Amino acid sequence: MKAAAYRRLRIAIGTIVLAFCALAFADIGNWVSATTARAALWPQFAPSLLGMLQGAAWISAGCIAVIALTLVFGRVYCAMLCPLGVLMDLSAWLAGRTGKKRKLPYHPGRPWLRALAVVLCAVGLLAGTAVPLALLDPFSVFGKITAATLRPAFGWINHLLASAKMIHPVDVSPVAWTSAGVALGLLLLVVVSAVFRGRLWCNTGCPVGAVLGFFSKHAWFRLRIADTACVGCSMCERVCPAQCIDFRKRVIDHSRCVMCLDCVTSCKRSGITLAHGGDHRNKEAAQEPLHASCKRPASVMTGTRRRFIASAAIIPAAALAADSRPPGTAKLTQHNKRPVLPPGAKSLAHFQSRCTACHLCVANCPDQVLRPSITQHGLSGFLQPYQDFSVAFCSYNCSNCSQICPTGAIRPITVDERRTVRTGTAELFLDRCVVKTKGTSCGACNEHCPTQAVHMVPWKNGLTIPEVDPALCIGCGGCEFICPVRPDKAIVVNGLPVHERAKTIVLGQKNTVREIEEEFPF
Amino acid sequence: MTSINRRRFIEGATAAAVAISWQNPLFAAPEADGEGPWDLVAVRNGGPVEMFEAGIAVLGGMKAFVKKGQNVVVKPNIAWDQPPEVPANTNPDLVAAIVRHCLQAGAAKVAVFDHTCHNWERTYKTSGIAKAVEDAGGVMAPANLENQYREAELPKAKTLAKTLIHKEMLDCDVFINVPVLKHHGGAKLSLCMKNLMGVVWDRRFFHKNGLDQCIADMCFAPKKPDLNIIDAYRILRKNGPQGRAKEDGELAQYQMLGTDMVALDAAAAKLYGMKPEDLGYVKIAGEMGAGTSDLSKVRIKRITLGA
Repeated sequence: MKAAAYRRLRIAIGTIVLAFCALAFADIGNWVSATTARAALWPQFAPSLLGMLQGAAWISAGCIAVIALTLVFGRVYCAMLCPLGVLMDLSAWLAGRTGKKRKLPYHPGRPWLRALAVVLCAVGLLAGTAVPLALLDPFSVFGKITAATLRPAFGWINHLLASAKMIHPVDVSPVAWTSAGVALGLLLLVVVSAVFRGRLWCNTGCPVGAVLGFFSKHAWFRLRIADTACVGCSMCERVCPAQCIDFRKRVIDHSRCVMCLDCVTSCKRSGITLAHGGDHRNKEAAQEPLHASCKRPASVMTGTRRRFIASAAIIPAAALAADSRPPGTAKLTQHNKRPVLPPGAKSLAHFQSRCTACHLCVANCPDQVLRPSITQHGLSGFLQPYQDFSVAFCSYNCSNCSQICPTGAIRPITVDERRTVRTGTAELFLDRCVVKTKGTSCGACNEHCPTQAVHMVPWKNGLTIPEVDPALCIGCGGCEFICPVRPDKAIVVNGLPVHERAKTIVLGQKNTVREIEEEFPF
Repeated sequence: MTSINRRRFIEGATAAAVAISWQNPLFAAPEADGEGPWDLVAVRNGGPVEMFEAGIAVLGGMKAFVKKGQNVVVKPNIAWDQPPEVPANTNPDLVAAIVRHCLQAGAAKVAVFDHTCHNWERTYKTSGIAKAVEDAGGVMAPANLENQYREAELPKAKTLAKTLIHKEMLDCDVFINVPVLKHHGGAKLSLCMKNLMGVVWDRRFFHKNGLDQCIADMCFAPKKPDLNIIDAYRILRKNGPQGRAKEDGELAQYQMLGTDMVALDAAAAKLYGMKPEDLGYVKIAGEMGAGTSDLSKVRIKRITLGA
């Protein structure tokens, strides 16, 4: 294939990936079904790797296919399948079109930083938290950014059009300022680093880039600068967003090359070709100190490194601070209770070590009960979603989050399975209940209980008062959501660290039939 | 002492039945209802649409309520994500028939909505009401956002002095209230007055400040129902108001139409097997003069179809 044609293909596929991911993460109207999303996100490296580590059909895992692809053609994933990478290219391209073209000189790279990124993620996973991965994996970072910026923007536009009666309004959960802050910070970092330093992130902070770089060094087909054609014009080095071409030595660092092929099209003499085996001089060049004549500016300290150091400090702390909440000595309220995990998350340990907080479930929750956590799960669950019963409750007829989760942090379950998974237990405080404190009828908790775990029993003066059968409770949060009592609700659903099975209830599938009476009853 | 044989038993039972039912309005035969106009029409032993058509005919047809070019709002109960067989929501065929009759009477627009408890789009769909209404030519209006509501004052109300009420209801010409008869854990039964909670944004206020009083206060909302139709084709007998399964529903084949919500709720209570005074809001609304809870003072037309 001609390089120009490949470049067009890369841009086309990259655009599709970016558009689809943006749509999936800013999905306010159930535009993307769980099945479509799972299929389309199959090659996303980090989620797929996490899924594979759980033993789910590892031969068919997308990450294996991506590694195979990398072993043949290099980091094609980074070129067009990574939504964050494409977003960076887009930012740099837009900046280049509006402002001055920035020349990116060759840089020897920071292999120790890349290794640190991988080590941090691995240590985190081994210690039982996916938070380092959540902050570094490009797919999850893209998801976080989109779900906290584009999604509320779509919601705002929807409500604007809906108030003009042009379309139907949708429910969009509010975005907490902290998660919006994190998302905006990440977006700023990504855009600024892309505009000024191209694919800097991909070769310093990105663990996926580091892993794929390891394989791409040995790729079957690699780019090569032909000695016979090269006149040393430096065009290739200037356009390379990865800063991995040293035109003076005529070498390309294939571990950092993101296969954009901008260099190929930039070369007037067609001196750069994709060839089997690539360039033999690579190895020595990578180790050799820089030639004195081509002095580089001192390495620019960017936000990435600072962030790196910061995260390196955070992570050991995070692993230790798993759940530092004191045991239930104080009275339980909706504010100090354990957060409820999505159904299918199995346990806090399972969930925290696998959720990269991409927020695909947050965007696609039809009831909008899932929200990114801040401190609810502790530091080791930073930004991982929880069920916020102050805005909604979990539907009895839905298991969408489990179907859409790309990492398997929320294991796929059917709606029937969801109905018997207990994610939390309802705890009733009758001394706060309006029936007891005011002597008026209510029953709001019972109204919302799909299993009738919360049921009404006769009380004084012909009133009924709630009672909880814990065996039937699935922890959906309907009761807590609707309870009118403030400041502390009279019924609180406390999250379970390990999900349980609720009692299955066998119910008749027929209406009873009324005998027509002789006379009307009134 | 004479022993009771079959003949004596039948004679005695017949005599007793005649004695009891003689001029007793409770046991009046359909023909014995006398002359209209009626406060309440009760129809039984038919499908939801059949019963509605028989009932509305007695009330002078839909044109007695809807004039040409008017905007109509039909407010069924569409609270829960349940299919029609679990009668937690109003029967979709009945709602569609009402929409059709309104349009035939010349209505410019018929909007249908409820402030659902479950996810509104899914509830509109699962209940079967969205499709039925749209096929009949009506419009499903959303009621999921606060900006669809407007503050209204209820000067005659005791507790609910002001509340946010759906704009469709406040701005319509004709308001038709179509509850389904169902069991309710807190309010005991959900009927006409209770169904009006679905036009309000903040329902927690009701639960917090005396549910029965607030439900009764809704009789004094700025827009009162011009017609109420209680769907008792299927009754939710237990586990209400949401219902768990089809076994909670009873195929009762009844329907009650009228303008007096208090009388209708009282009659529905009896149909369920309760006394009207067992329902706190019926008692309060009766005392507040919102309607007649004493059924002996209500002119009822009783129709048994296929009899």
